[in-house]
Amino acid sequence: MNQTVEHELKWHTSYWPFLLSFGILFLAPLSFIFYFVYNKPMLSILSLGVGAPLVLISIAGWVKEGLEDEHGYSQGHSIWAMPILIVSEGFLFIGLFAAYWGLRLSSQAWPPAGTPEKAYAMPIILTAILALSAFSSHRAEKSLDNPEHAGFVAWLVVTLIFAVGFMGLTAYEWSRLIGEGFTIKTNVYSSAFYTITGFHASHVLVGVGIFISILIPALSGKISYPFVKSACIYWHFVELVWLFVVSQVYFW
Amino acid sequence: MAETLKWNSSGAESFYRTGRGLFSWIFTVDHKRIGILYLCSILSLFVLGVSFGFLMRLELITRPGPFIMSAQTYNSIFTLHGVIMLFLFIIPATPSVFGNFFLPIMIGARDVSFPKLNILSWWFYVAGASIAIYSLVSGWAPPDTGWTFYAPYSLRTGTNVTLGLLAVFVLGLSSILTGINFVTTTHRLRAPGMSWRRLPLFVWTLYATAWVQIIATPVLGVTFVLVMMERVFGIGIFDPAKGGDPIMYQHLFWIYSHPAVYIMILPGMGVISEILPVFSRRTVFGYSAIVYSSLGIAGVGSLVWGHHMFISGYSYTAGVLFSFFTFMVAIPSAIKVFNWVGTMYKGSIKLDPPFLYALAFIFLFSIGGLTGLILGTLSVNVHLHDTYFVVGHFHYVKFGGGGFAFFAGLHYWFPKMFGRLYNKARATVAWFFLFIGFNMLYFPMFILGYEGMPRRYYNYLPQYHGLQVVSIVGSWILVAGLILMFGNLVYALFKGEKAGVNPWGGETLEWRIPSPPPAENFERIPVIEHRPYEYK
Repeated sequence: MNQTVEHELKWHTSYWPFLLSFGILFLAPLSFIFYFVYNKPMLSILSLGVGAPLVLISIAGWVKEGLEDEHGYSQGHSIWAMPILIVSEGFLFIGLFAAYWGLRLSSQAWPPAGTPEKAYAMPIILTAILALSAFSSHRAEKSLDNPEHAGFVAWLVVTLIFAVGFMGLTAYEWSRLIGEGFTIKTNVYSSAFYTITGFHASHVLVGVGIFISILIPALSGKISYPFVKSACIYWHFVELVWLFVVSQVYFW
Repeated sequence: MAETLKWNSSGAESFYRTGRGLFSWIFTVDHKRIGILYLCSILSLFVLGVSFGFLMRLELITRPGPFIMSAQTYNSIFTLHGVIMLFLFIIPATPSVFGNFFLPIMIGARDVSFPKLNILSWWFYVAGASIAIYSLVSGWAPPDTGWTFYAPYSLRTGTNVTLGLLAVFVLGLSSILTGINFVTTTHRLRAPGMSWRRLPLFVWTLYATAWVQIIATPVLGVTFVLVMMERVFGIGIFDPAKGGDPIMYQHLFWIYSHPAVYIMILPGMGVISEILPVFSRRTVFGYSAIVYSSLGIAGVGSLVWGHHMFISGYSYTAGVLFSFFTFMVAIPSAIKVFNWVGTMYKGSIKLDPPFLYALAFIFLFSIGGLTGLILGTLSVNVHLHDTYFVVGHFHYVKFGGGGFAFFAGLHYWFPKMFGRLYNKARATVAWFFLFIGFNMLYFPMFILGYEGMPRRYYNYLPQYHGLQVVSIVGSWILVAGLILMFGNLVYALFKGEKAGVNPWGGETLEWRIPSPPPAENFERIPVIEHRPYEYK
């Protein structure tokens, strides 16, 4: 640890956490409340309009600050923190699956009335895409170890394309099911289905965000190794959760 | 007494003076300033929560009412009293205020691992608190479900439940981020020589608490999201009319909310373990036993959620198991009490205010813990469930335990945080009022509950009137004590004597740096050579 050496005392401030917290507040809770609780769509859109740019700007600023502070005393701690975050996220999904299993095992007939015939092609395609993205993100990590900058960027772009493709296909799948009359309020199964796949998709979305905020600075040669490492750990977690989603919600 | 660390004169400037103006506070990433920010926000909300509790008690002075409020208002007030006191005061109080301020100092670090994440957690806390308060004044009836938000009532009531749930969800986010930050900090930023077995006990309890926050909070988050979706989109996970299961709500809710009880009490136990050795001038008795019992409480405490649901109609076997684990938690808790008493035994005790609060903690927590065993007994619980006995029990544990530990910490670390000494005589008088008022307020509840007075009722039978009045007068004494205590501290903030580096004679690292500490705490990171609390 290099913190035993004497160093000049500094006074730090950062405005990104402040902006990010307000951005998130407007983007998610407030727009949700305005639309669904108070029935004011205009206010909701306004709140989204304030929140989304704030979140984007503050994440960009935060990432920039993090990359500049290369010799900060907590350099590399994110590799330690990411598994802890994943434990927390894991319990989020455990809660959801526990609810799903509880409902399923105590119900008289499964699937409940109103569930359309299951199609198995889409979940297999989605699983294949995530498996390929696991491979490509691993390749990206390896090219950083070597180090090959061009290879890293290329594999990162490939991973990003898979992740976005996954999101697109999930959206397509949802719209098809909703078109068949299988909406979130149809029955207990549909509620669980959209909640669990929705939670997983939101994690994919966060993954896309993380990859983009690695890719943009990487194009001009700024890469933080611990950041990439923890992003890959996160992405493998998203894949792992998908295996539970696909086996429990689609194929069981 | 511990040796003061050397500073050159320019470096030792207090962290209050290093940056100036509003922006140096709202954009700060310094863990000490964040601790002060938490202190201010948490105490303001505590005052709000106390006012609600006070009004609720006052309403019961006449029967059948109304004395000062309608029955519907009464329901909302006890709901918000619960939400504010639990999610906004007692869960974040000790870890967020003293944890933020002292965790890095005690392990010999300049800051936490993720300073920016730290201030982000505070902003999330502010956002959650604002949403909770807004649900009160939004013009729509505030939530009236009780802080437990039990389904199916919370799905169907016309009040503004969604906002209350959203507030708790945002607060949970803040709690998880703080937990991750503390665990990483404890792992990565310990000073050279600060091995796990040399960590101060407060750090150990913060570490155990942080893990409970990380593991349990997301389950509550997901549960509340499901209830919100149920209200907004009409899904049917908990609603029996749509094939859902309301008992599942209770399981998911208590899987978080019971471990949350240990989030409330564990850091408090850490504060007490810091204070007792200092004021008894003895090394702590059974360091390892206290450490392992903290981890044991965190572990076994995660397996007892079902004891809130003995009469919900789940299987008898489940009831027996949960009852068994509940009794198991008593073992590590009792080990701690024995260790504290062992620490004081044959010590040269100084009856300063922090020590008095610590003594009150041990007394009140023991009563709370032992009545918990009565409630954990399957057969007795059937009769006492949802009575004033439960209310008395959890106030003894949470307020008498967690709350008094917070006050103890406040009196112990006040000279370090603000560089001023408070008047000890006035602090002792305030302590006396608090102790008497507390027991007068909550002890009658055990008797009332035993006699059958149900909790959360706006009206009651005439035979309960006498004890209700005793309890109400107790609440007045308690509030008087709180006003005295805070008045004394606020006065000391401006007019108090300057505190030296080590006014109590503590041995941990925070007592070796100036009061208030300078920015970045240490000029040179100290090398740790022995355990804490080595009194000769």
